[in-house]
Amino acid sequence: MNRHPRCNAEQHRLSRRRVLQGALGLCAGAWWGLRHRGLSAAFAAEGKEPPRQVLFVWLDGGLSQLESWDPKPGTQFGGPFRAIATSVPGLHICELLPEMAKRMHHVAVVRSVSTKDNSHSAGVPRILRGDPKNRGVVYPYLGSAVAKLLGPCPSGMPPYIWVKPGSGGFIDKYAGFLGPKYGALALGEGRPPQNLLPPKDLPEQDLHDRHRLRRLVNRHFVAGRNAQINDAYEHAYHMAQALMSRRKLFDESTISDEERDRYGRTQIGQHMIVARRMLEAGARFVQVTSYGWDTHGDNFLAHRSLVPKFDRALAAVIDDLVASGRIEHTLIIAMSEFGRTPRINGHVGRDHWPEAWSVLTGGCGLQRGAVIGATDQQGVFVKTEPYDIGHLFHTWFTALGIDSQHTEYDNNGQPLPIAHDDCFPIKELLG
Amino acid sequence: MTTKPEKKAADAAEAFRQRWTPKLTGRLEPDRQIARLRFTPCGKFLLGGGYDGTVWRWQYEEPPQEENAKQSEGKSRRRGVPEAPWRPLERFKSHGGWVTALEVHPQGGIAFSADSWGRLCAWGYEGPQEPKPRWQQPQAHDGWVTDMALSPDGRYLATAGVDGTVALWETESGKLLRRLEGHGGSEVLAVAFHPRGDAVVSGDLFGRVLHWEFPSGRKVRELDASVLYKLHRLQDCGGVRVLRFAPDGKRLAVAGTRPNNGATIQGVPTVLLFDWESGKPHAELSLGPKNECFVCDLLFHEAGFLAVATSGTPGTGRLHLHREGEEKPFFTARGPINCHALARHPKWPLLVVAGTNSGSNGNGRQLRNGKYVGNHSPLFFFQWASEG
Repeated sequence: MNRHPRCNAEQHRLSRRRVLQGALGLCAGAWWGLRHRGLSAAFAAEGKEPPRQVLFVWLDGGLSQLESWDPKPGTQFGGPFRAIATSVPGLHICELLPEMAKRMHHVAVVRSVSTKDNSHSAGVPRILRGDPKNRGVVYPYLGSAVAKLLGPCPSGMPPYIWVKPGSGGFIDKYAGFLGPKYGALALGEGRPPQNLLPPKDLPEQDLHDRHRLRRLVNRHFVAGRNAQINDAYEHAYHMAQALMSRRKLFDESTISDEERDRYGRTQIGQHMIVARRMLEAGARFVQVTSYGWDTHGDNFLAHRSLVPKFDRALAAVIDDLVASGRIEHTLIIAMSEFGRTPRINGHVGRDHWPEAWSVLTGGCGLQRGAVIGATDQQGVFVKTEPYDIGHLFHTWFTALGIDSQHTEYDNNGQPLPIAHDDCFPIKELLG
Repeated sequence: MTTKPEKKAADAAEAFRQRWTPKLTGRLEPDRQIARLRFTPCGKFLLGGGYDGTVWRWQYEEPPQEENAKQSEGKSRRRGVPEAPWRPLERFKSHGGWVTALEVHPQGGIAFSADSWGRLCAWGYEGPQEPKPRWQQPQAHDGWVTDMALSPDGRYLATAGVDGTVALWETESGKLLRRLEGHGGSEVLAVAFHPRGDAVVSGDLFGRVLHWEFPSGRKVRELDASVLYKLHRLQDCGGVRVLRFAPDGKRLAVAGTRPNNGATIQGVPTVLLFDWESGKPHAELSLGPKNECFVCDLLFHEAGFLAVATSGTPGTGRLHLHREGEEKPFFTARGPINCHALARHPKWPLLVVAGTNSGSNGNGRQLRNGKYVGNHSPLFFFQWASEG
C-alpha cells in the first residue's frame, strides 16, 4: 500500500465513518454551473419533462396556525394580530405574513390538518415519517423517501440535502429501513462539508491514483459484508464528486446584496438562498430547517419576530421559482410538527396543538390558491374532514408522480406501503 | 457576630417588612385574561384591558353588613378569599384584538385605551351603560399599541407601537400632536412621561431607551438597556417591557427580562434603575431564577419600594414587593401566579394584581365538561394595614 510516510495505520483503517468523511473530504467540488439556466426550457427543448423536486421548509417546534395561515381575529383565542387579505379573493392570513399574502395564488393552504402527537420527541419523527402503520420497521423521513422513490436527479447532485443551523454532516438515521444511502447530506449553516477541497498542492494524477486505490481497497473491504453499507460508501463518494464539480454553489461572493436583502439577512433568509441554489443545481429534495418555534412563552412577540423573517424568505424563493418556471415541477411544503393551542397560557404563550392546524404547500402537481378544509369559529377543532399527515404524504407523493396507493417499498422482501394504508390523497388539493 | 449598627439596620428592615407586608383581602374572577389594570382617581372604578378586546369595568360597592357577615363565615369565598366588593359594569367594546394599553385622566372622568389592532379611544367610564367613545383614532398606530402614558397634567397622551413609533396626542381632542420616529423601525414596547412633564421616554425591543424632550419631540439621548435583549437563532427576545419614573422623577425603572434563550423564552425578570440626571444605571433588581422570565408591570410606592408583577416561562411569576437598596424582595405573594398587571388604589391602601388561573398551560386537548375552555385572570386585592 502506498502510504504516506507520515500517516499511521489508524488513519488508513477503513470504517464507515471514515469512508463517509473521506468521501466528503476528498471531494473538491467545482460547484457552480447550473445557476439560473432555465432548466425547464432546457428540458423542454430536449423533449423531456424536468425532474420533480421538493423544497421542504421545517419550522421546528410548532408554528402557530392562528398567527399564520388560519387567523381568527376578534375571537377568544384569536390573539392580538389582525388578518389581512391575500392575492386569493376571500382568503385572509395573519398580518405577520404580508409578503406571502401577495403570493398565496401560487400555493395552497390546508387548514384541516389534525394529527395525533402533541410531544416533540414522538411528534417530529411521526410527522416526518408520515405516521405510517406500525409494521415493526423504522420508516424513512420524507426526504429519504423521496430520494428512494424518485432517485437522484440527472444532475447527479445528492438527492437529499438539508440546509440547517449548526453543524452539518451525513445524517443516515433519517433513512430508516431504506439504509444509510438515503440519508440527508446536512449543510450546517448552509456551508459545504468541511474539507471539501483537496490540498492545493495535490497533483491531479495523485488524486486519481487515490481514487483507484480507494476503489481497490473498497472491493476487498466489502467482500462478505453488508451490501447496503457498501452502497452507502459509494453513494457518499458519488455525492462528494457531484459536490466537487459544483463547488461554486457555495461561493458566497456570488450572492448579490440585492439577493441577500430580498431573502432577508436572517438565518432562514440566507439558508433559503442556499436551498434554492441546491434545487437549481439539481438536488431532488432540499430541506431548510429553522429552529426555535416552540413558543410556550411570549408567543405573540416571538411570532412577531419569527414569522416575518420566514415570510420574507419563503416569498423570495417562491418568486424565484416562479420566475424560473421551476415552480411547475417543484413541490413546496412549509410546516411544523403540530400547531399551537388556541388557549393562551399564563406565560402569554401557546402550547402544542395537533388537533387542528395548517400546512402550506404548493407547486408541482397541486392546486394554486386553494384553501383546503376549515376550523371552527374559534379555531379549536377541524369542522370539515380532518386530514392526518398520512393524507398529506399520499398527496405529496401523488403530486410528484408516484402512485401512493400502489407503490411499495421492498424492505428485503417485505413489501411496505409508502404512506399510511388508511389514508388517501386529498383530491381537492391535487392539480 | 452582629454589630450594633447591623442589628439596628436588621430591626429597621424587619419593621419595614412588617409594616408593608400586605394581606390578601379579596378576589375577582373575570372569565377572560387581563393585560392592564387602572383605578380611576376617585377610587370608585377599576378598569381592566382584556384579551377579549374590551375594557372591563368594576364599581366599588360597600358590601351590606349581612354580606360582610357571610364573607366572614366563608360563604362567598373562593379558595379562602372573599369576593372583592367590586361589581362588574357593562364593558367598553369599541376595540379589536387585545386591549393592551390603558390610562385614566388624572382629573378623572375620562379613560384612554388602545388595542393591538392600532385603535386608540377616549371614553367616559362612569355610568352603568356601555360607554361610548368620546373620540377615537382607528389607526393611531399600524398594529399593536403596546403602551401609553399620560402627561402629569393630563393634557397629553403618549402611545407606543410595534410600528416603531411613539405618538403624542392631545387628550381633549384626540388630535395627533407629533409622531416620534427614532427607534429605527424596532417595535416600541413601553413609554413613560417624566413627572415634571418635560420629557417622554420610550423603550424598544432591542433594549434602547430614548429620551425625548417634550413637547418639541427632540431626541435628547439614549439610555442603554441592551442587557434586556438577545437575538437567539431567528428570534429577537426580550426588550424593554416596562418604563416607570419614581414619583420624584430622579430614577427611571426599565424592566423586562435578561433573556437566556428564545422559543420557549427563559430569562431572569429584571428591573434596571437608572439615575435620570446622569442616564446611568445605578441598580439592578433580579426577581427570580431564569425561568421566572418577564417583569410585566411595576409601580413605585412612595414608602420606598417597588411593586413588581412577573410572569414566568415555565416558572410561575409572582407579585413582589422590593425595597430599593435591598437584595431580595421583602414580600412575595403566595397566591397570584403569572401576573401581568398591577394597579394601586388612589385613596386606600390597596393594590390589585391580575394573575392567571392555575393549570393554564398544557399540550393538546384538555376539555372541561366536554368544552375547550380558555384561561382567565383572577384579580387579587391586597391591602396594607396602613399607608403610614
